[in-house]
Amino acid sequence: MNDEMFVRRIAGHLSVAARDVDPVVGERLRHVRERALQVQRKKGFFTIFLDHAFALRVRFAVVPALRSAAMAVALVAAFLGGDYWTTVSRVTVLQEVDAALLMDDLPIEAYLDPDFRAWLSRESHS
Amino acid sequence: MAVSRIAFLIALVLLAGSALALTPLGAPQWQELSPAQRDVLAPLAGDWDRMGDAHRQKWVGIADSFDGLTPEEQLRIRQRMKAWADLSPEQRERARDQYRALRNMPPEQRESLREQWQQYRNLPPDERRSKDADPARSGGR
Repeated sequence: MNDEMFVRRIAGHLSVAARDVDPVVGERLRHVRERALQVQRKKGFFTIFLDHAFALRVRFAVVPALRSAAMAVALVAAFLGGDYWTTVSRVTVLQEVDAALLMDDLPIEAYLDPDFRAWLSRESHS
Repeated sequence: MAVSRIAFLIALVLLAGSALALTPLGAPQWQELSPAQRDVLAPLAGDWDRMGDAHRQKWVGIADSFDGLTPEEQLRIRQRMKAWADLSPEQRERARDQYRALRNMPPEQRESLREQWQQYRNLPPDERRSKDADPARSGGR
């Protein structure tokens, strides 16, 4: 016997036994029973509400985890994006300067000789 | 709260691991270069694996723009490529700084740089250096 059958059986016994009690008492019992049923109906509504609330709680327990994961993804993406941009900029500058320097009229030695620039400066002032 | 922290850490570790595994800009191995790129960069073949990713990518960029250069420019790059790669990072940076400084010179002065370099090269080493910078010539004795 499950709970529902047990409840129905008790309700049936109570209904049958209520016929044997004093009408005034029976009337009070009927009022009390109706009030109990109303409470039960309200409780049913709240149970449904609580079920939803529980589901929401579960969902809100999962959402922070997803939010944290999203933050981690955003953090790493920002880091990678910044690193990528820095690397691209650095490579572009290196490529431009090195290519220009390598194909320049002057040999590399001219750019490696620290005295050449100083000499040029002196020559331009003399 | 603990679940979100664990999720955050797991995601961070996984992403950081995958980020570290990524080669910046996909700097290629020597075998991954196209035949045309390998032909241009042949002087660097022996040094390629020791180069940093940024430098490899730089050379790939130079190789890719090689066809747009004049034959004279191409020849200069080919001739100087190996010597340039053999310089220390400090030497290369110094050369870049000097190049930037000389490039900012007035155009008329810039055009005569090659002649001035030859003139400078023909000077005795003592005369190339500043007299102020040379203690033996600055009256310091």
